Amino acid sequence: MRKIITLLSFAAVLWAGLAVVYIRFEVNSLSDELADMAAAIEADKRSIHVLKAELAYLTSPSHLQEMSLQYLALMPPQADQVLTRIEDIPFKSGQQTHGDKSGKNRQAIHLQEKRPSAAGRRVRQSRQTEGSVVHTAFTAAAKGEVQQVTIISSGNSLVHRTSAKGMGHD
Amino acid sequence: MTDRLYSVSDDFITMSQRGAGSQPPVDHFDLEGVQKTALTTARARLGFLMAGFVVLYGVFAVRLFSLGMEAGVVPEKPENFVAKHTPIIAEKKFARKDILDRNGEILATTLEVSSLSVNPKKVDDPDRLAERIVAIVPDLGLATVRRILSKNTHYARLHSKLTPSQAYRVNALGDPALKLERREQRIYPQGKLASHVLGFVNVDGQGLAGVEHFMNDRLSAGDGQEDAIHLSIDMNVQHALTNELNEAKNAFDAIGAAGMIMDVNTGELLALASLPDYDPNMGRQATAEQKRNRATKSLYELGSTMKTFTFAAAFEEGLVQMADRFDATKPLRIDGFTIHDDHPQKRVLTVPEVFIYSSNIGTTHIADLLGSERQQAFLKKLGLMDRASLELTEVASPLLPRRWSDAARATVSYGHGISLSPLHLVGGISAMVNGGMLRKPTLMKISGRPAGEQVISRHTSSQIRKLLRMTVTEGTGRKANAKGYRVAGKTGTARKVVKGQYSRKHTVSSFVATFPVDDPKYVVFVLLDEPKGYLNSGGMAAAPVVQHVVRRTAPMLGIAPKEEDSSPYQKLSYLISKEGR
Repeated sequence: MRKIITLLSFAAVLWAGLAVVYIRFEVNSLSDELADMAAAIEADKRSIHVLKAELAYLTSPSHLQEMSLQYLALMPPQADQVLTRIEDIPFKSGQQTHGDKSGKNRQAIHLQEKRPSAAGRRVRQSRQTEGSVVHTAFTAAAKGEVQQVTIISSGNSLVHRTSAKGMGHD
Repeated sequence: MTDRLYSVSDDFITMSQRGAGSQPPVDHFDLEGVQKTALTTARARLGFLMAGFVVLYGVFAVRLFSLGMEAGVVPEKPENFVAKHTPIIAEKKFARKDILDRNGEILATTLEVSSLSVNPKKVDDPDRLAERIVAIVPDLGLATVRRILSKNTHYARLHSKLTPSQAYRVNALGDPALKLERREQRIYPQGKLASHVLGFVNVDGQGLAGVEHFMNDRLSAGDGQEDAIHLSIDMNVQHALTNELNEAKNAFDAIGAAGMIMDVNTGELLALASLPDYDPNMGRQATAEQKRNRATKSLYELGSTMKTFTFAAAFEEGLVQMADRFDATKPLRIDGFTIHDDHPQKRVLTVPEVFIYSSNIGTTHIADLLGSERQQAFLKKLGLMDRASLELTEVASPLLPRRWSDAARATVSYGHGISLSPLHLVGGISAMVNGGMLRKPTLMKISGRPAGEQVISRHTSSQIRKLLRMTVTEGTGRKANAKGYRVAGKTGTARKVVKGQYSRKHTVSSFVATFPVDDPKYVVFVLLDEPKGYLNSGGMAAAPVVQHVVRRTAPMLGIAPKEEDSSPYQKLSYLISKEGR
């Protein structure tokens, strides 16, 4: 009986000792892993910092304007291109609308000002001249009225001229 | 105690051995007297000892069990469950805080860059090393590098800003003569944008101009209380303003331009631009002309925009009514000066007509009613006689008439003989249109409406708004009308003094506007310095810029276009004869 107890306690001590050693190794490897992770996080944070600066550069308004002039024919919005009520947004037919479909209560904004085009302007880059990019934009939803919009980019400036029937502004 | 214990045990062992040796029958194993007593004592002590150990290990077991259970419990808040032994890698704190715009976009930040230096004495083969360096850093000239590498010194700088990949490749060369040093570099990712607001720093990262200079202590304080400074500037609005100003400056071949957009209800400047501008990344190379802040530091005789203040003072004092008439048939002579109208109507004008056709003669009559003292007191109340206040070092004190004579009173009433910075004007006009509350202009983002000082009554403010609106719909400012956004404003065309004479050719054309006029939110100011050409007046040169700026920025600022309503102006329009147009 005593022998068994002795053996058992010896085994227990051995097991406990091994467990301690095992846990110790485990803790060491985990803390190494933690240190690696902390270093990686810090490295990532630094990269994020640099990338943020890079993003700020790439999304800076002047850079975007240059890109826009090169690839798009977007212009500053005219007052009547801005809708102020959700009901004024035309939905596809058959789709449930927010407001009334008949459009009776639509608060249309009638401004005397003529503007280049309504929605759905299709853009084509027609030709590229020296030092300036010329785009020609024309309306897809043209009911006989074709409006031509020429955008001339010179440096970082934006000049837009519009020629069409009864254009009211420069 | 221990000694005794051992001695007892020894006795016990010897006794046992002796007993074993003599082979007595076990049941006869009998002890007597002293021996028996010693053994009993020993057993009792052993019992105590064992009990002690049992209790001790029992406590260990219970504690172990409870610890085991505890670890299994999920902590309520994960942030409370932080390993106590955490190998913290010190977070890289830069010496200077970022500057952000009101929406958190980066305007100025600090990055780590590598600079490359060399110890020429350690270079074995300058030609070979020079070739290898130039292959990695092509912006260095081969001849220059060769010359530097052949110098007879211990230290020479080759490049101050290597990209990370260049630094890596230079390091990979493994040449002991080369030395890479990491240092901090201030970066302005938006380039020239808002350069006069931001300013720039020197090699040691100390601010030399703009907010970088004014807020140097706050930007370089390692207090950890804030990571960045939020400006009131809106990057996109700033760009729209700068872009349109640049456009007009080129079109009119002006020597400079300035512009500002201010929130009239808080005093926050959403945009502040001065042209020509510079790239703060290369701030030290900027010329004095580029660094000059025309919006806050330059003084101008601002011209007719100042009439707004004369009218407001006269309304406030109850000296004039809208229907009053003033004779503007012929030029006025005061103290040897002759006062002309730029848009002569040559007739008797009503108050709205004096304003919208910008009649100097009519305004002089109104200033006569007001008198020099009340005129000065009013300008003083608006802060136009003191140094402007803004979070910039580059602010100016006005240039006032040396003696407030009758002639001075007359010229000041229409914006000559007094030189102000555009910042002065914008602050004053904001108070004229927002219901009469004068607030300090600021470049810092603020929440809520700061306290202001009531300088004119709400009624006077509303009358001024009407006059400004009529100027845009009927008068000299028609080119500023961004339809749908209800713009109201005043033109200003001031002659510059050239060789002691007011010159017709050299003008400062400006336009100050507010929108939307039914509930003013913003004041827009545009100034062109010496626009060339025949049509270079405020109404022809500066007003269209305001129109474009409003049209571009209103959607960003959340101002919805509305059908324009002319009914509030019906009564006034009866007072305006159309023959002036």
